[in-house]
Amino acid sequence: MKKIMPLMPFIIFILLGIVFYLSIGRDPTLVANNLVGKDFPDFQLESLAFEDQESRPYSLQGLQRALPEGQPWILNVWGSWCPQCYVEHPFITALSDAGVALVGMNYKDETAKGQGFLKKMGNPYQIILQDMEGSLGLDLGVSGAPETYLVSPQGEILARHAGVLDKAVWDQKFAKLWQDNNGHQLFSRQSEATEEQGAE
Amino acid sequence: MLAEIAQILLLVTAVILGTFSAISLASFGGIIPSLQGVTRQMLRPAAYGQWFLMMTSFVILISLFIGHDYSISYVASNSNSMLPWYYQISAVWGGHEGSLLLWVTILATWYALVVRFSETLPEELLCLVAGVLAGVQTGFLAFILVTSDPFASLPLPTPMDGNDLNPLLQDIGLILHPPLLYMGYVGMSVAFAFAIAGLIHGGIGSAWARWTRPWTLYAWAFLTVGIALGSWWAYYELGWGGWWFWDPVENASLMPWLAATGLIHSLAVTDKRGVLKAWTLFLAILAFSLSLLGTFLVRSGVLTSVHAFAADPSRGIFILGLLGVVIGGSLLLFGFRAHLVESKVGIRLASRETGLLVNNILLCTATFIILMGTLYPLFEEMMGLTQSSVGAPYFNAMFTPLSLAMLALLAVGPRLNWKRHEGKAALKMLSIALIAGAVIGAAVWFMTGWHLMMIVTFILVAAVVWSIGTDIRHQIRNASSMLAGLSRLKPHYWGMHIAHTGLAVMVIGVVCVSYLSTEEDMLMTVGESYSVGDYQVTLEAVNDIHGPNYRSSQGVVTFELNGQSTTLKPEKRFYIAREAIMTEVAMDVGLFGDLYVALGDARNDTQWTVRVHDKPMIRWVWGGALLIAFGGVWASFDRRYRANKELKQGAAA
Amino acid sequence: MVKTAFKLFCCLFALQLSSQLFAAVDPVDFSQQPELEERYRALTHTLRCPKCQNQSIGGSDAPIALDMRHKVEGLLREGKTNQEIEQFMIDRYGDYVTYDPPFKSRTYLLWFGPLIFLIIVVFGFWMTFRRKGDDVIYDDDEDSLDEDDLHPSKGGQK
Repeated sequence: MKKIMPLMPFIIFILLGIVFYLSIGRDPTLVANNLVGKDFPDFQLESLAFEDQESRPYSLQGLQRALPEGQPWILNVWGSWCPQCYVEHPFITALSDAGVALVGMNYKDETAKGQGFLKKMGNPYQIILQDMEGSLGLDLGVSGAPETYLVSPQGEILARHAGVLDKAVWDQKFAKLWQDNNGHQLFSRQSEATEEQGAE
Repeated sequence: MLAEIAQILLLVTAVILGTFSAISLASFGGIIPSLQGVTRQMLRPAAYGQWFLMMTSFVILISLFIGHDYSISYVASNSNSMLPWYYQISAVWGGHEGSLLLWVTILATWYALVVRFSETLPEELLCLVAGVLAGVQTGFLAFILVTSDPFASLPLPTPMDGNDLNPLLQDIGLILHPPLLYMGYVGMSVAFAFAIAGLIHGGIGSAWARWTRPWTLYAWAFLTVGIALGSWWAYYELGWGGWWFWDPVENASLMPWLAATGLIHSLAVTDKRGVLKAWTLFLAILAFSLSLLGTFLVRSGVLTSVHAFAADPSRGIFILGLLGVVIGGSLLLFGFRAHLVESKVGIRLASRETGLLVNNILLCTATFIILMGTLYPLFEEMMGLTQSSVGAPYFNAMFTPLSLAMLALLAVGPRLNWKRHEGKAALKMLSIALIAGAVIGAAVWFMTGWHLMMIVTFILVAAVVWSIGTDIRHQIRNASSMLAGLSRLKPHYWGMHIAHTGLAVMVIGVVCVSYLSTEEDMLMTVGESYSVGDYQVTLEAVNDIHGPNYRSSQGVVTFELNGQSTTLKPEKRFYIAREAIMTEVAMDVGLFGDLYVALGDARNDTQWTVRVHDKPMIRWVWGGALLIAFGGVWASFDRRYRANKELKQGAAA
Repeated sequence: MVKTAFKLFCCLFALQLSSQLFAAVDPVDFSQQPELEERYRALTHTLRCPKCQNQSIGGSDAPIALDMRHKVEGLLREGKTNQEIEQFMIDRYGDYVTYDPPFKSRTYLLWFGPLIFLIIVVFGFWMTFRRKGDDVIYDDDEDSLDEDDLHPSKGGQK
């Protein structure tokens, strides 16, 4: 015991060193959220009128009724003010083309600017909610845009990603949950290969 | 061309120091004793030579900045031709690479000074001290050369102009803050080197402590001023009137300070009584280790902070490796050799030694709290848990009782005698003080309705001041006159009391700011008066002003109190070139409090948002810190630390 | 050094200073319920902005910090307690959102750690300097400290 005592600082230092080693390189700008695993919060929001659609109010129930039944769906938080949203838009469009039920949430934006964004970039969303005050955003624990949520057919939030969503993130965070929750096959092997080529 | 020369100089320095460090540690460490002669011969040329080489490369970097050489990557990303000359110089340490070069240049300076001013040290010990410093220096030079070369050039074509210095750093506080802070951080390496040399060589005792003490005091004083300056900067620059945020980077600077404060106290015990040696050695290693840890935390990106440098994993790995060698190696050495320096002498419960030991325990606990609070989110993440945020509420909850205990100890400790104190007298003194304090406290509380914590703190501060006064009176009781008595008191005695008074001053400041501040965010209509605290505040007008490179809305805000009025002019500036909006606070600085105004946005033609602070006694926080540092420096002038020299000269004669 | 310190001192106490400011100025009118003002300030300084580097929602200009301040204000006006408001934010953003770590099993170490540390260190010192029992040497030779000044070698110079 007496011999070990002076060595204690060394041992503690080694343990600390291991913690530091494992911490290097991770992203320290972690964004906090506590909603994963909980039910999607209820809300009352107007939809964004786009082209021939008309603006109408939605609640959670109304939203779920409007989406294909028994399928998981995606909520994508975006804004015309957010540069990264332009970056991620092609992948969101690809998801839409693959038949994913996509809900867009135009976050802290202006109606006209939101419409302009979609006119320029194309509209991948089945329904677009307008959250101008950020009220649903706050209830969802949104801290910025873009953010993307995967919601089960029963309305449970399965996964969340803050930042640009791309194929790699989808595969890592969303793909398995998507399939486990009755989602249909999205990308065939071939389309994956083209995706990779495109990336190069 | 100059840049390549500087790179070569750095490389040459690294090679020389690496060689010297190796042969010095190997020969005097007993592995290859035959090299001792060579080490002795190399000692001084190496120390002065490396200082010259390092200074040259540092001056070259400055000249590259002043010469607008944007072919150098670091210059291009941190300077601009429009930047005033003084910011061009301070931009040298505005980024990671340059600040690291400043770090090693300062280490080179400490190293040269130690060798120059340690004639009295036995040469074999000095060789080891120099060997350790050279080793640390080599490690950091390698770090610069491998991962963070400030002289690296950009691929052609050379940019027309630089990216400019971060505007937050274009400020007097940030010109002075890093050099002073680094003087402190890096200065801890001297005590560290003495500790390692002592562990290898043996012979740690009063004499060793006496060699180490002044160096530690200087480094500690620099660190104190450096931290105070950072706090002052945050106060006026970040604009919400706070002076300490418990940000990881601030914590990283406070940890070595606390450890070093413990060290200068435990050195006193080792010096006077020759005990507590192993503990003192440990603190010397700890203080420098925490300095290095701070460097790691700030530069590796493992923690989230407002002040951190841009993260780069490869740098993180390299510093961690360096930490492993320096800290790990020294702690291992300590682990195996510490028992050799242990003394058989015990300590009586009622004695100055015990007081200083308790001081050390409290300071170590404080260090531990900060370490724990700062790193806890990392631990949680390791365990796969979600992260907590540990901030001011936690640290305040922990530090409040600790500070009160520290103040109580400060009122008693310095009055205790070395070796043994007559227990009953001390007890009597203490109980009288306690009863008197409680009575006065209750009366003040009844009369003013102040927060209880304020009253308790004030009473403890009063006890500290009273204790200092009594002690001085006691010391000069036999003198023919008061003046004669005072002049006979020694610098280390004065230093102690000055620093302790500084702490009392600082505590008064902290408590008053915490409990008596007023802060008001208001929507003010031009021409109308509002009452904030005791003041009548009026936004008289908001004028448009044109500066050299900005347009500005300048508010004219008057404060009226008892018929006296003060006018402050906070601004909201729009910098045309950068298209950046900056708000400038205006302050009325006073010894007993600041008025602090910031102009927000215009809500319409006549309404503006305005933030008003009344910060009583805020200057006492930094004033106290300066007194503390001053006390440390004054103490180092004591003849006591030159006694070794006199002894040696006597022996020679 | 003394001179530098003096200059710095003058610097700190220079009469009028002005500089940039980045914290948000966002007045909230609590004149109808002045008792809420203090609580509002405390809460906005305790809650952490989830998207900023390391700032409270009261000290940040980020849009999310603004939203959260408004929410805090709204909840205060609804008569919620500080705890309920903190919990509201924790439900959405996790423990990360408060600088005051909640007291629960995974923060026991954080809250009790310092006390445990203190006890261990006190115990360690006590054992080191007391356990020697009878053979403890108290070094009671009578030389005065001033004399000690002139014999530094005695302390252990080799």
